[in-house]
Amino acid sequence: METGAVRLQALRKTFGDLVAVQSLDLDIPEGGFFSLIGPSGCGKTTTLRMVAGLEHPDSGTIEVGGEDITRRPPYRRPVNTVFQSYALFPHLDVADNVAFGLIEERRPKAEIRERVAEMLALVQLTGRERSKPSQLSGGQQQRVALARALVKHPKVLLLDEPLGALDLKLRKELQGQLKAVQRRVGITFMYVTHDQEEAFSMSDRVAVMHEGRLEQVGTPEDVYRQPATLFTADFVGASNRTEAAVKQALGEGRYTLKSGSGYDVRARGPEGLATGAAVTLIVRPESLRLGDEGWPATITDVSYVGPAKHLELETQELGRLRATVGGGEPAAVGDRVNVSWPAEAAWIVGER
Amino acid sequence: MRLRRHWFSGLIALAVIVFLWAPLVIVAINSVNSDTLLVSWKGFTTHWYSQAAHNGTVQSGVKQTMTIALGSTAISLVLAVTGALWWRRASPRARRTFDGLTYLRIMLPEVVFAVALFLLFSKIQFPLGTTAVVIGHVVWNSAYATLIIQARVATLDPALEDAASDLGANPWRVFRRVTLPGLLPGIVAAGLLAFTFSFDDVVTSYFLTGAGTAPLPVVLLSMIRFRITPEINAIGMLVMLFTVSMFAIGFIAVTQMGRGARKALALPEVRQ
Amino acid sequence: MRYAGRALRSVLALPTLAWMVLFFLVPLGLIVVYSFATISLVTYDISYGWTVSNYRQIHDPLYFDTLTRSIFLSLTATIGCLLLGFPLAYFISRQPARWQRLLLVLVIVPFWSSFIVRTYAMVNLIDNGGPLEDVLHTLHVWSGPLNILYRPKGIALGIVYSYLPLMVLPIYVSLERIDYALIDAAGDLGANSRRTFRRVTLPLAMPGVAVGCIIVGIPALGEYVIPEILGGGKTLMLGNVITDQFLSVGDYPFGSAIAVALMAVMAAALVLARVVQRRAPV
Repeated sequence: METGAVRLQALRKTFGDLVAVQSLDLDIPEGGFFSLIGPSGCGKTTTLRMVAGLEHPDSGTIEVGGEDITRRPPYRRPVNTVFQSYALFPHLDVADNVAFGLIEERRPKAEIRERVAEMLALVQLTGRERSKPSQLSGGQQQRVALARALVKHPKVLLLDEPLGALDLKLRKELQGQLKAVQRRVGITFMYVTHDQEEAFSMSDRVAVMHEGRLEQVGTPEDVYRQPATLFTADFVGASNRTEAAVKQALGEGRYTLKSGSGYDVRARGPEGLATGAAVTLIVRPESLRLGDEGWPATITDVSYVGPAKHLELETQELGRLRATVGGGEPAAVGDRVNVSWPAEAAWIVGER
Repeated sequence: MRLRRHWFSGLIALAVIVFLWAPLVIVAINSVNSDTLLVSWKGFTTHWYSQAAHNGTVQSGVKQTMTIALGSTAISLVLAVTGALWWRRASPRARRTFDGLTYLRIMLPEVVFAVALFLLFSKIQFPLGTTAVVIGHVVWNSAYATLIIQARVATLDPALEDAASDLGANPWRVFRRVTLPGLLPGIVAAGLLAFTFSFDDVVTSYFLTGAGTAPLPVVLLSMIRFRITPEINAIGMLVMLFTVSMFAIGFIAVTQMGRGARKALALPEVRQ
Repeated sequence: MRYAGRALRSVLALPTLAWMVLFFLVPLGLIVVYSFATISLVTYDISYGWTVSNYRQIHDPLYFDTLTRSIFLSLTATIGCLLLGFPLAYFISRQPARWQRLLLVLVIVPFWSSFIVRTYAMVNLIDNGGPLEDVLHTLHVWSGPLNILYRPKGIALGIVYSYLPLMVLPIYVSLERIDYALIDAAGDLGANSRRTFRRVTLPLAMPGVAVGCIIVGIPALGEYVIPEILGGGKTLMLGNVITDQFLSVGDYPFGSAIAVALMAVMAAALVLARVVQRRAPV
């Protein structure tokens, strides 16, 4: 195993009656930006804290770089954490905060000074060494927390919703910076958030969690365009859906389905679905096209958000649909249009 | 000041405040009054102050009181810090027992403490004196210190200790580098309060001093009991000034603590 | 601290636990044991047994009077503190913040001065021919000698004097929380304000009143210094009797019995306070 890869095996954690994490198996490859996403209470933060050593799993193992660190206390693990509240030491200035871990390693003073300076330069806080945390803005505090964790050169950096307390513009800015830092430093980042968009914009791979279980692992694109479960499909975006049954398997993940209202539809899906299997068919709103061909529909609602318009359409055959079109598209309430979508955009979620 | 609407309570308030301060003013006046019998004003003098300063019993009394106060404060702080840190992670039932023990020590009249220890020491033939007094003080003094430090511990952010641990500090180092600095205002406040309570104490010291050097309050008690000399007023003034300033510093420390706690918990700003 | 393991964390409880068991609980148990023993006042030999003779001796008018007097004085002093302290606390709570702080300081600072000096100062104040007598004469409230020094009345006054801030502070804390702006806005001056006081302000102050009465009344039962100095050497309260028995007479068993009696009265008062607290509408 590469030095920065993480492997979780059969990890389980309960708090009294509540099962926070149910027998999780997860492989995180070395050197990428990996996000763990899911709604509140899904177990993602608990999982992260178990990797950090701040929670003890009931059973299962945690390996980093091939070493089993399950039994080790947090101060003996090659991982470091950026906390949601930053947890900067209020009685120490920025330089001492960043140097904290290095002092524990008993590094020589000159080395500490050098590494601290290097890290502060990386997060663009050179010159703020003597400031106290209370004198810094939220964004600056977050960067100090980042520097403090990175300066120890951990094999894995754990980030627990570090951007939660910041406003939108700052969040986007820091997302970019985090991604750049990860590329620069090259170590594995394990990032936890409930914000799907945030995770998708930064990550190489994501894992979706729900009620203590892993729903799906893959690249953001895989997860978005080919969700394995209905929960995942809903969590990462809006969708139009309908029940259907497999009519014919065409091979290589292509199928013909019979929709609930009796119409034939072409779609893609996971391989190996049997004929007659009851499935759910989803089409993302942005895949719908308004044009000359397709199912007749009437626009019943328009929401203009700037770069796009969200439409609600009423059709006779397919019921109510949601579509997202460009902001400049001429679409108004009451218009009669034809709705269609490319066959690749229809995806089968292999369960009901 | 809103006087007209609350004239009734205002009147009583005035009377009470005068009532609270009058005796102290009288002591202050009498401490510089030449009249030995203190029947009337006979002119300003510092005679009583110099007499007090040269009084051997008073000098040794002050030294003894200092020793006892320092000793009992130090031990009380150790008990308070360890107890409060344990309490943080203790089960509800254990906490209830601990709290009950703390409040019992605050409510129980001092005479009961003193008598109980007197019996114990006489039974096991432990000598009365400085050590005995310190032991006695710690029993009730640590209760007040514990309350103050418990309050301070409650303001500590557990994420800070998580962070320290995550960065490589073992539990002892976490305590030394993060927890202790966080507790410092509470320790200062509790220490000053405990010191003053010990300094001012009569009953426990009276019982457990035995034949040894009497601490200052016990010296004062004998002086008051057996003769009325104006010297007492001078000593009284000096003691008062000392305890008031100690309490004042402690009070400021406690109120600063509130401010410091708010700063320490300062959540990151949402807007830049 | 979390990662230190439960065993290591329990070690933290040891210092306090050990100290209190050794120097608090065991001695208290010792008092109880001694209260059932007898002592020969000639040889000072103690024979342990289970006699209740000490407790019976408490019924002797000499000692029983002291018991009742202690309860009475504590009660009187508590009521006195309440009568003086409540208006003061109310007045302070109604002032703008800046004045509140100043007034509180004025109330607390005397409390910070040496306890024994404060009590001694009372001697000066309430003596016949002293300032209080002069003031009362001038106001034509009293004529003739005051005669409260070295009497129970003087002790009650002394207790009120020393414990007053302990009554004022909790009541102030309760009252300070009340949003007077709302009350003022809701009614107008005059008859209405008296009713709002009775039905709104007073009930809200009750928790503070309860706390004040407890932290004044209960320790006052066991007072030693105040009755010693203001009582003129007579053993007027339980604290004095206990001390006398232990340090002068040497009758440890009897002294212990009185101490146990004191604790029993205390416990009864606490239970009573709890019952009253539960009954009173919050």
